[in-house]
Amino acid sequence: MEGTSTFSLTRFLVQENENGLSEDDDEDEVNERGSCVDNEEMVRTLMDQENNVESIHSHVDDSINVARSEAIQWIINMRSLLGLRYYTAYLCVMYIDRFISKGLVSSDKQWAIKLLSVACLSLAVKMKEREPRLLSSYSTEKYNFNNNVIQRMELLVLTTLDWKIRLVTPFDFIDCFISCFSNVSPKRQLMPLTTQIVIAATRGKFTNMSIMEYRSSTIAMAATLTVMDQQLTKESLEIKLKTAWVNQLFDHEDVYACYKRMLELEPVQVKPELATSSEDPHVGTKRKRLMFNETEKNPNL
Amino acid sequence: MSNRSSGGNNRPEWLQQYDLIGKIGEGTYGLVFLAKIKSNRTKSIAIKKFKQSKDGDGVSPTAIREIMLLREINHENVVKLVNVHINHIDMSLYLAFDYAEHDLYEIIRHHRDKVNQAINQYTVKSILWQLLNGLNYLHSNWIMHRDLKPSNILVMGDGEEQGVVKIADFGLARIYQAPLKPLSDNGVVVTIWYRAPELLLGGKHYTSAVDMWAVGCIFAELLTLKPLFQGQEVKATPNPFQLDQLDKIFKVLGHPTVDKWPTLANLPHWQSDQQHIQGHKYDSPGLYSVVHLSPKNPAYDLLSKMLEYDPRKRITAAQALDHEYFRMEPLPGRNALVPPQPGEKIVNYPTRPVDTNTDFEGTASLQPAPQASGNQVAGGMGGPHVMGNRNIPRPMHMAGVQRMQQQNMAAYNLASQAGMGGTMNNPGNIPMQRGVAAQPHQQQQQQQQNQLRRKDGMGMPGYPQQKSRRF
Repeated sequence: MEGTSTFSLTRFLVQENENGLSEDDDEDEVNERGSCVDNEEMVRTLMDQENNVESIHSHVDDSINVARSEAIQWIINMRSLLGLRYYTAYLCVMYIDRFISKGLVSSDKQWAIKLLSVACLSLAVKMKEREPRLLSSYSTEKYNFNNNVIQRMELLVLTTLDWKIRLVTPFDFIDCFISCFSNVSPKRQLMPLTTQIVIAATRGKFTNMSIMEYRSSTIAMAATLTVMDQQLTKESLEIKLKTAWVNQLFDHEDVYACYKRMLELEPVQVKPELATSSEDPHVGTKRKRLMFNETEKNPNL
Repeated sequence: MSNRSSGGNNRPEWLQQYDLIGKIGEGTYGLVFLAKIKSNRTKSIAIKKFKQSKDGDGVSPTAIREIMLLREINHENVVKLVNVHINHIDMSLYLAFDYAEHDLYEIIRHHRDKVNQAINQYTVKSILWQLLNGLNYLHSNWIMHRDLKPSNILVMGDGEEQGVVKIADFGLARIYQAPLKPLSDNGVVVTIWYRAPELLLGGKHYTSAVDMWAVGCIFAELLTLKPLFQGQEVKATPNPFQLDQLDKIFKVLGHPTVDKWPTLANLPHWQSDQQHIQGHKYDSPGLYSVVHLSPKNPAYDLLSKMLEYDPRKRITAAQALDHEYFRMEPLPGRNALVPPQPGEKIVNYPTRPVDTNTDFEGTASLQPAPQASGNQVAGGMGGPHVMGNRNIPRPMHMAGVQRMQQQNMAAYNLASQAGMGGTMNNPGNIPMQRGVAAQPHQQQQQQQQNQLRRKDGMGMPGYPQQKSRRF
């Protein structure tokens, strides 16, 4: 239907070999949960937990949005640099959004969101990675806070989120959802693509309706469908959904709306932080540690 | 660093709501204190202070995981986190829990060393029933405990929750999806006596079945008052092969076979035939002779299903709750310490020793604040239960913390102003709702409720109903 012609799935493949890590590096732990029968229970449990999480929506002003986009780019870069899982990066963005939506960040403090991103990334790493990282590993020319300040910010984030930092992310579902629609063989190819779509969904404004305001399960389902077929209409999407047992768990309207939004996404790539006018203008030239693929113009900045 | 510039008057605001009674434990993770809430003197609180993380690490991941899990958990048989406090001066973290006077380590030890008598059947069954209920709740919510042992299973003392079992110490607990490192990699010392054979054989997967193995070991210990598999731990890093522990297990349960346990062949230490483990020969004396139960006894049947080698075949908490053992007399009850039937002897367990010469830093001898503020700190209370010296070093309840030595310590008498002791034992075995039963008086705790999906119900009965028919 309309609007699908510009979407190119292959562009989301660009990134994949940037480092050796993929999301299924601990696949066997996941498989430990066993068969699909168990998966059904797990999916229901996770979706129940989603229900308990307050949704985020707040209207923030543009400068916060700019800072947030910049923070996400930084997180994407750090993920690559430190060899973190995509899951971790996504979780970090969820923390940031939850914190911002409490209205505690004022737009005149440029450094606040930077400090927030460092603290949130550190927390996400502690939650999801096997190896914790030293706080100093999160410092770059542009983000340089002393340990004490970061730890205080971690505590502020934890208390602001009421210590409820075990959040359900789309990554909890995509493995299972892909299995719902396809057999084992194409799974390997679908997984990285779906991952990229989900990561791309962190971009976009935090006002009105960012994709991240959908439930994680909806995002995971929409991303799975996006990877499998970019030409779905509302009707054909419903038909497709109905072939899987998870069908009953979803609001079809939401899935379709989210799917449509995903077709507008641009892939997210590792790239230098863009200097804002108030910051050091030389910043882009120094970062040789980062490996850039290309510096495509990012529509969100 | 410390806020204690002039003898403690300068305390942070959160601390002022408590009267510190003393230190009840210390260890690798930090210190545990006993305190009273000033506004509600009947209420005792255990306050666990996390050790400072190393500079450069930020907030300790162990603290984050434990607090996060505890914030979500809400079940009568799981220890209740009442509050999290941050000392902003040095950024140390303090967790406030409802205080439980007893733990299974103490209860078992008391029976073995003082009473010289087995724990009565009602108490064993009630403890096991409640332990399984708490565990079923955790497992249903994809949380594994990973360090179940008698000292981590608390039992409430006098008061409205007397005899209620609480699973404690979530310092090692994990959500299934979270990445898991072998415990030894974390530099964490965990007793090996309750460790499942798949882990001893080098398995990397923690499943809920490892908790069920530990429950089996604890069940046997409740029956015999002796640890079931008391292996000599090999102290080496990292993750040494624990031959003696496996040897102890095989001697009782027999040699495992690939026939009965197909994935055995894939376990690293078995595969590499560490210390020729495959070739050892055991003539099995049988579990029943160790626990003195007839193989026909339902208790034996349940125990042997918990000690099934193959983790995939091992009984789950939900299945165990359904076992015949819990449907026969005596039926399990809410107050595990006081049997509902009159005439049964009630054992008075000793109260926990408290080191009153301490402050919240856990360092100095401070002013005798507790006495001054009017707590009864009795000399050797507790009737006949003056504790002997402890010479077994042991991990302790709250947090892998070492229990206080008895010397130089006053035992704190929690004599129940709460009254009611013994009246809450669910007479008539009325089915009770778990998880909701709790604490209408805990005003400030609502946020914590509803957090986790209440899966504890799950069509599970409350305490098993007495059959109306009698034979």
